[in-house]
Amino acid sequence: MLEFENVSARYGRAQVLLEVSFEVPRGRAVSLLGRNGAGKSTIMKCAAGLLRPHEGRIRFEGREIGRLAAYRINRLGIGYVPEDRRIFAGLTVAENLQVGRRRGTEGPWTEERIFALFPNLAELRHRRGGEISGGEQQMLAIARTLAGNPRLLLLDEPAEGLAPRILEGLAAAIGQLKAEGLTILLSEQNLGFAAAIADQACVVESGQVRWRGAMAALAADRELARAYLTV
Amino acid sequence: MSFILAQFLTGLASASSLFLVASGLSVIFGVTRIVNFAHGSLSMLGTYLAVTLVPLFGVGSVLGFWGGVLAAALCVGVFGGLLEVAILRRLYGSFELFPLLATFGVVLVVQDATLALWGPTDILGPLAPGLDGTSEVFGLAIPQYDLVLIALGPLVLGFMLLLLRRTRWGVLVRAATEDREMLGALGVNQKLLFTSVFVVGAFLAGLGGAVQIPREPANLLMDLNIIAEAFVVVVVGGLGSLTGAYLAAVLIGEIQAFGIVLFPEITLVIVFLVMAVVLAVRPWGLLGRPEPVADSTLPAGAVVLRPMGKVGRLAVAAAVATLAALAWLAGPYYQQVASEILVFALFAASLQFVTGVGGIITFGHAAYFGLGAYGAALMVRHAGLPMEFALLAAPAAGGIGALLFGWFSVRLGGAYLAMLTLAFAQILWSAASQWYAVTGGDNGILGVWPSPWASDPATFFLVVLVVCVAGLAGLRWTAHTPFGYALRAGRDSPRRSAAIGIDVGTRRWAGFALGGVFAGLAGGLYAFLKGSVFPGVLAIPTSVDGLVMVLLGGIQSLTGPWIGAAVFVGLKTLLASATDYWRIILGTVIILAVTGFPQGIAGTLADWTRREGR
Amino acid sequence: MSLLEVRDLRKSFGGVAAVDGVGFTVAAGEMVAVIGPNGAGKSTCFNVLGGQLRPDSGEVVLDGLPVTGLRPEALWRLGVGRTFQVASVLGSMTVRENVQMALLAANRRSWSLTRRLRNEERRRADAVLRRLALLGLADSACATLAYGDVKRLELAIAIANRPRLLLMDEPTAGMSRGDRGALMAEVAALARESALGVLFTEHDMDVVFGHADRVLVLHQGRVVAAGAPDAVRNDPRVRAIYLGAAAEAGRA
Repeated sequence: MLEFENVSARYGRAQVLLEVSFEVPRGRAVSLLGRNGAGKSTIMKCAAGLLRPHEGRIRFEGREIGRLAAYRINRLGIGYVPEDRRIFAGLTVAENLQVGRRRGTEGPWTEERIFALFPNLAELRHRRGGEISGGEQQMLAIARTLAGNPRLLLLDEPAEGLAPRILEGLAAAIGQLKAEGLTILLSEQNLGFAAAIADQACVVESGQVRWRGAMAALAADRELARAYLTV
Repeated sequence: MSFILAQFLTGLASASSLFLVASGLSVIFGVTRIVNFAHGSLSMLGTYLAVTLVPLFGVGSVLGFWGGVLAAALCVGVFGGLLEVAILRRLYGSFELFPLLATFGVVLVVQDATLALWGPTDILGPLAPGLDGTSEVFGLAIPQYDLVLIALGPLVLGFMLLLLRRTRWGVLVRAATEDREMLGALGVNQKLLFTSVFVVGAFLAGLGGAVQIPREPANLLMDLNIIAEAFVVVVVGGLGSLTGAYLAAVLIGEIQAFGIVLFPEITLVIVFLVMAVVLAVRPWGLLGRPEPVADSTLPAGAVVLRPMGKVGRLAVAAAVATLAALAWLAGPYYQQVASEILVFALFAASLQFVTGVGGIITFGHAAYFGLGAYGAALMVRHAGLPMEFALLAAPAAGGIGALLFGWFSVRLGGAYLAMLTLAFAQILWSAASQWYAVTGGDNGILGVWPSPWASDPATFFLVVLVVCVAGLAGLRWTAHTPFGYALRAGRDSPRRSAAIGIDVGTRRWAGFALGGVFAGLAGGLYAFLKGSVFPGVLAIPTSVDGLVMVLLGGIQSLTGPWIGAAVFVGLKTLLASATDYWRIILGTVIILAVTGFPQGIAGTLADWTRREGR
Repeated sequence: MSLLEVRDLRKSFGGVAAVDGVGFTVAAGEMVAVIGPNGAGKSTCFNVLGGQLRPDSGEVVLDGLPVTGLRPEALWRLGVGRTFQVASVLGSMTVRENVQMALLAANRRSWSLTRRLRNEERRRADAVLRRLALLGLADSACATLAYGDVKRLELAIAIANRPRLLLMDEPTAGMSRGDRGALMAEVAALARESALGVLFTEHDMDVVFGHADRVLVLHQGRVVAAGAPDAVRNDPRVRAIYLGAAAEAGRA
């Protein structure tokens, strides 16, 4: 469904991605794994159209999207949930959802269904985005993207900075999305969280893909996990 | 008591129109981060269109009047949308000086277009049918139209707040002020949103201008007067806060209403004092939130400073020798033109020091040029001192003014800085045109002649040459000293500068003041060169002329301002003698240059200077 | 006595505690690495120590002198050098001029209007550049340098005035693999030679375990482990943070 082919990217003069290639098959969940600064978020930004790759191709359902504006990529069906959530702090929860929803696109993610998935948000709908907790903001960020009815969901470090108890609920919600057939590309540093969601793993280090394979294989290979993920 | 109430209501009525204009400015800035210099021009267009359209729609009828007013505002809205699509869209995210200059280009074009279409005389608008009498309020006869205006401000404020709170468009606009990039990632077409915001902002400006027709005749000075007032309102109210803008508009409107009766000559000084108090207590305005001070975008070609090479030194020596020879070879006319170029070269170089070296984007540098000119003129005419003293007083006046105004503006960045510096200059301009007792108002100060020993044109030309070359050399020297380097360090990277012990805020303030000293010196010379001083030396166009000269020469180049001044003054002299519509030509050139090469003007010239070794 | 002593440092943003009671020490000549997942509070902690942020509470003591909440300018004069995640140098100046500026500003001579910068502190600047093998590039403009050299120059600026403490935020981010090791070896040598204490964050674990004398692990704003690299590497709590409690439990 999504395909990276030899994608390289830079911030100013610093090289951040070097010939990255991988793919996300339809209906599956793939996790990018790696430490801080490995290049995971940059891959996500390239897929969402927030950063133009310097070289290489990115294809979505066979169509080249590397040079499209972010809003066009979104309208093709790619929903991006950024690192740090980037909630509109001055807007209420309901207004944040309204931004994500577009007129003329009907889809499965009606307001009722979003609130059924994240019951907390229904109660908070008139609170400002900046006034709710980190976990709630993460739910809102996902909900806001779902409101646009994407077919591919990019989740950039959704677990970052969240307490373990909240993580369980988040993993369950994301698992439900996957069960409903949504394709997911996840970026994560935490192997446990990624293993709970993804089928396939793609280990990134220093802007390059070092290892690709089944999530189970990575989780089972202690040496491999250690080499790239732990200290 | 009745007097107080009457003035209070008058103040509220003016506040409404001011608020309409300022709210449009604020909404546009919030979303696009562009300070729309042409906003006053949009308002002026609203007034002119209304005085034309209302009679077409039917003077006597209520529907005709309000239909005409609304149609005028709509036309301005469409015009604003066209401006965004044709010009401003290319400038989002570019070096902050470019959108400001491009919109100033629009100011010039609109000014001349208005002059061509409607002529130079003021046009009185029709009164509003059914509202041309007075009504009794607490026993006072108040013009009915004022009462309508008083209601209009809060009505529009309420309407705008509703629009922003209750509609999808409003939600998107508020989201855009927080995080534009995220909005795109959520599927919102920002281009369309930005254009629509410009349409709404321009509509508000047009409406603010159109509703003024029964109170004020349409005239060609409206654009810059209104923009300066709108800047004051937006800055005092807090960028991005509509309620703040309304409060500030009421504050300014009331000060003017009472000031005009109680202290007619210093009303503007009071406006300034109130603004100063508000900003000293709340630097980001009444209801504004602190704007993060970002590392300013360095224009292309932020290049290393090198000492002048042998070729450069020879070229300068040759140029100075040639100029000196003019004293014997050329007549008074060419000496006059050459002097003017030299004075403006010094002025432009002082501005280059502030903006290019210091990275402080000021839009009111004429204030310090003008303070120097008035300082010198007052010394000669009122204190009876000779030219030598006056030429010492001029830089002092410029420096003290820059020290004072700089304290408020330089610690703020970006849009606040641009608007405040412009507002300060405009307040000085208004003070100079109104304070007849001291400045002679619009009549200026005449008879500012050099001392007898220098009164011969050739000798005076040599005086100008010596002082200007010394000033230019002084600025150049300063840029090469540790002081100049530290100023540049603050521009390159505030974070790195702080981490190596440079107090960037104080340094910028000092650099700004030093720029004021040299601008003041140039202003002093200018007063003696012309033999007179008029408020125009302080006006916005003088500031912008300086910026254009600096950009022409390349903003990073220390030599650039000399070349820029020569080209600009030369061209302007030619143009002004060839056509009455030089503004439209200059404006078009500015717009084309800025949109055609957003990186180009500075970049191209920097490349050139790099090759030439400066 | 420790060179740097941090006690119970706290800093919150909008009710969320980014740094939640952090305390540690750095001795003279010691290299201490701070690691932890994103959002653990490393950057906030660094920005508090560097004077870019004021802490809500807690104390920072440099060589017995309380320096809590001092501005970056003051910290530099007291001997704290700083490098940033995205290298921050003075882009419109030459390599040598960058170091000259650092030296002049430290001695409060950056206000001078009577001399040209060119000849000020040239000898000392060149000595610093020679030490970091940048002398050959002394007259080059920063804008023409490769990123690895920019990072190296930033280090030269930071150590120019012989600081006692060097704060390095992700010193090798954006550098090539070979350059990383070389830069850190340089830093380690400087630390030993001049009893310079170095506190750095880093996500390249080769750099951390290759060069740090001690490692601090931050998680959710607190220090969860501190000690010699090997001890930290084998600490089950640290592994749980990186690998996830579930993954560890599943294997236990």
